[in-house]
Amino acid sequence: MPPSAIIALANALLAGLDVLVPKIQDLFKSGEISVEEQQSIRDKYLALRSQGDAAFTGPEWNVDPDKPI
Amino acid sequence: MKRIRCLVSSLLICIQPLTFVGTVGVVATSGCRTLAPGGVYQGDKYLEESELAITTSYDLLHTYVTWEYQNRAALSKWPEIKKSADNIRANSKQWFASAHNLHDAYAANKSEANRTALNTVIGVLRSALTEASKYMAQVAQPTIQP
Repeated sequence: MPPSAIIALANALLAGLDVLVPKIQDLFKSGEISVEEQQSIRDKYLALRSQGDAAFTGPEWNVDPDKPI
Repeated sequence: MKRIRCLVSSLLICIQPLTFVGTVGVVATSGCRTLAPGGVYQGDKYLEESELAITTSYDLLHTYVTWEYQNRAALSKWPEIKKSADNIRANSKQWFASAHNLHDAYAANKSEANRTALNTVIGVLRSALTEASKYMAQVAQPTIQP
């Protein structure tokens, strides 16, 4: 595998970990999910919804599958 | 004791291969914590977990298709990755639209049928994440040059 692909993979893994690590940390939190945390989860969900189809308009979402590599 | 069991089961999920989404199980849970009273979910942990699962699924699938898009040439030796990413691109809009619709149906009427339907579409998202995880792990596997 070329070094550029390894670096790209590492970047993608880090991006994925950025998402996952807070979730894992949440598993170890004790007590209740506060009102503020609940609101934050709801806000993120609504933010995604408010994007509608725009969430899928970037070039990464619109690659022609028939276009040769 | 219940909390210990919960942590152990959570850890078992987490110590699965820590690939990009190797901890897919984590995306749909905020652990064993309960909801504080007075929050927007009004005590409905399932609704909170489903919203968390949907947004996290989007973030991770977005990461996957972006990675594939930016590295198409380097990844061409694994045609199954292109096929997988193209499938996610082709269907994600519909998957998430369905998730939102079924989320609304459940929020309006918390019946077992509506919950099952929402579970089903979240299962579809989770399957896509599992596939993405598998392929990223495949690329991350070093090969021994002869």
